[in-house]
Amino acid sequence: MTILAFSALLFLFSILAGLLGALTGLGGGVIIIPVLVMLFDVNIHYAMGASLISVIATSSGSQAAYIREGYTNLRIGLFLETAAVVGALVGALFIAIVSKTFLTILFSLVLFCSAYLTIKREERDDKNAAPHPWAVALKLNGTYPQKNLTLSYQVQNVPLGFFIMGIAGLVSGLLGIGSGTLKVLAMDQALRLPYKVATTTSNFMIGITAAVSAGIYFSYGYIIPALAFPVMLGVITGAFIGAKWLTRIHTRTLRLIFSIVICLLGLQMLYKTLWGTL
Amino acid sequence: MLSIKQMDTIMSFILALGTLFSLLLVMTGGGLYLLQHGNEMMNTESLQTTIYPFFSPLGMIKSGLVALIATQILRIGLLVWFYAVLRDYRFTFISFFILAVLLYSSFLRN
Repeated sequence: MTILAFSALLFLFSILAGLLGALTGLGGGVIIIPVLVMLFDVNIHYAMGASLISVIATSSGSQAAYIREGYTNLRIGLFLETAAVVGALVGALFIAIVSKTFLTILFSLVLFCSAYLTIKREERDDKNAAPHPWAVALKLNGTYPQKNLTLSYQVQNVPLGFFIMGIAGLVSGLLGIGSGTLKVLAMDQALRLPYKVATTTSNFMIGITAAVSAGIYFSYGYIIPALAFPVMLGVITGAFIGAKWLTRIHTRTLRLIFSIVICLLGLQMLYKTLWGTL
Repeated sequence: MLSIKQMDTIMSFILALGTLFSLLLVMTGGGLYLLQHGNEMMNTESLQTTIYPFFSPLGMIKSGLVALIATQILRIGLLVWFYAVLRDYRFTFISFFILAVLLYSSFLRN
């Protein structure tokens, strides 16, 4: 197809990726890579590069809306990000050494677990649960708006969350994604943050993690302008629309969409790895 | 001495400006690229080997991508300043650590 047709089609898929990214805390990178590799026949390394750009773009595009909405917890995000950036650095540098097959299978399994855990989680009353000592020391607790109220929350299991963030960073560097899935999981399940706080804080974090990975990918030559420009523009558009919808969509709906999407992606990656084209 | 709210506003503004600048570069470069090459056939094999000078459409897109990453670095830099002003030394250190890793990854060359 012509360059124009290619770019336009990629742009449309990227809007979808950005939309889903803003609504679920994923970066859209997990959609971009399969689309580029399977549909557009692009070398996976360049797909990973474009995916990273889309992750940074999603994060930048929707952060403006989030911070002012009052959901994002900057302190938690920054603190946990220290683990993630180290993981990303190590992961990106390890690309040459580790087997992709093993990683993609592992990644698929992580996606399935995330999908399962996300749906299984019941509504619980954490308001009186004791915060973790680290959370108290670093003043990580926060508040978030719910209709006309301001609700507060406490933070638990910080070391576990920290560890999972390190893994999330590692995966981000290795696979060229933002690891929003893992980050949301860590904050939702381990830290016990309200879901919308988890997704928006994840959105803040994935931009930084991806920037670390992208720095290294640039030196590898994996970032291709011809691919990155439709992806970036599409994703920002989709993320902008998605951020506007966030306050209007019920948390339960978000969780369901999230689980279905990552289940499908997990199946897709598993299929590709075991039956050949990855 | 700025208030928290003022610093917050400054940071949001600079972040938005940086992202916008990057967007403009990418859009302009992308538009020019499509105008010049839109009717050529897309060749996904030769993507990496296509050489482009700095002042070409693709070079402009690349500058925009670099600006996008630079905005992230700038954001963390501002947060270091933000927490230093607030005398929250733990978070000044945390932000600084992230900044260091970001800078290291950006300037690392094989």
